[in-house]
Amino acid sequence: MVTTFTDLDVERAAILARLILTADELSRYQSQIHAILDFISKLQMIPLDDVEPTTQVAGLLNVYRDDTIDESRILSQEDALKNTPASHKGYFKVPAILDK
Amino acid sequence: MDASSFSITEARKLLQKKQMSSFELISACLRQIKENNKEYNVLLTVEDEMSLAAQAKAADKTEFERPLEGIPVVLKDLFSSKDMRTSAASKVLDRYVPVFDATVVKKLRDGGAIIIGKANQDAWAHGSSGENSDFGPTRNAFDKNHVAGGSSSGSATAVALGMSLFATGTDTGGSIRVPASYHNLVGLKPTYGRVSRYGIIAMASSLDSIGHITRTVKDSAYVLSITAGADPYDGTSGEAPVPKYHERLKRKDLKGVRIGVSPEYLAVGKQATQGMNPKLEEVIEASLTALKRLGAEVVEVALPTTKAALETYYIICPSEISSNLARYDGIRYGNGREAFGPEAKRRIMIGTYTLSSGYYDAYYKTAQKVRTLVVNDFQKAFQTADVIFAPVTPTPPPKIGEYVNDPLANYLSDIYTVPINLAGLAALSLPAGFVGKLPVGFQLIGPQWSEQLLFDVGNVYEQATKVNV
Repeated sequence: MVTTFTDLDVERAAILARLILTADELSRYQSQIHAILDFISKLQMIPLDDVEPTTQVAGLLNVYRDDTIDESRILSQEDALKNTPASHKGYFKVPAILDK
Repeated sequence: MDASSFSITEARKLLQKKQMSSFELISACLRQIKENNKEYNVLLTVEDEMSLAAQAKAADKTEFERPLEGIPVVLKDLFSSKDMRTSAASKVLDRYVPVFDATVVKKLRDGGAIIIGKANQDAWAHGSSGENSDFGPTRNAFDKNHVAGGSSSGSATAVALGMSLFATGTDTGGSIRVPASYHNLVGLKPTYGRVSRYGIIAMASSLDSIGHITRTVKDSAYVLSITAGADPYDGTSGEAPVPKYHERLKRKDLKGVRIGVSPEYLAVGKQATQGMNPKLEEVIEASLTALKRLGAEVVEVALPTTKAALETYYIICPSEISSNLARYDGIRYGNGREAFGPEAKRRIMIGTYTLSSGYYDAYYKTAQKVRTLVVNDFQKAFQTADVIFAPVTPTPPPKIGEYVNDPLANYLSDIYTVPINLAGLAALSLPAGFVGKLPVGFQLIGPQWSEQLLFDVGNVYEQATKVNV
């Protein structure tokens, strides 16, 4: 069975992706995304019963690094905060997620 | 000849003999920037002139021993450059100034290269025309009503207009090969893992490949011998040794080289775009004839699954995009998610959907399985062919705005380039000729780690045809 995309799903995808869309954007993206999903849904017609998925093509397995601290890679507190729009006494300021 | 139009190889000779200074070279490129940057919308950031002059003068005091001493380079704006704005051509990062260099940027700097500016591109590298930049499209250097090709649009236009001698790019589904072809230049998409991805803003992590755009094949080989190699900061970078590729271009002809051509591969491009541009087909055909004349043997190869490669790509790629772009929350750096442009929003939503519970198997897992078939197809083809020949795009550069309301039509133009990324192969795009005044290209596709062979074959072709000199 071929899975199809409904208008509701665009809204759901936007919510899951933390994107806030205007009604205008929503209706425009719906038809565009519909066309794209119609196109990619064709893949489901290919018989794939005994095929293993490919997750990467690097041909590498279990690449480890030494379990030591690499100081050359550590940002100073000042550098780490350099690009934040809001900081407080050397910390990132984040929106509250819990009520008082 | 203006200094800004030299190849790296030519410029190095003159610099080392002290017949030209780095200061003159940088000044020549700056003149091109001043003259054309506004009109063609090529560079989003240009390094401060005083700093450039100081760097060039410092280079001129040396004997130019370092491999890129005093040579200008333009970086695609996905490459993190310390203290130099890196925007990904997105409004989300319009004020972001990295506090570290990408591994490749560090290697270029350590090699003595002078970063002259950061290039426009499709925002986050989403696109193949350059029109998805949040800062406006880059215009094609050969006809400004046409697209530059993307996503490394400004990288190609910068080299074509003499703003730099070479430029870096990323290729996730054709983003180096397409703009290079649209500018009569040489584009390298190295094997996945050949060049470190560390510090380069990620698009689709299992597909992203880091390469460059140059004027000659030899320059392409030269730059790769500097940028390639294993990097402890990128767990997917490969350990294969890095030869001096440019010193090993030994072939004088193509005798004994088997070039694979797949009729079905060509046919899918024609279907996708309602028939390939006939003039482009002629130009591509002539390139193949030139390769044959040089002694190559043309063999037919079967690539049956490539038909489905585009659908596969447009599931895997947005899935990985939605995951990679989830980190942009406007807290530690950058602006909030409302600042994403339309194409990024579309891809994030598609990827979120194809990865979401209930749809994961139907889309993402299916695509991963088809990816296996694509990999197998190429492996089989390389049993009878040393390299595979294909066009880069099914059409010459479209007019700016031609597909603006039809994102799917834009996706279909990636048909010849995305299968290579799915399989992690190496590919070199080369100038094929012109359709009217617009350049088009073809690509030589090789197995993983076959860069040396691609350079060797490409160099013989270039020497015989000289289209890009």
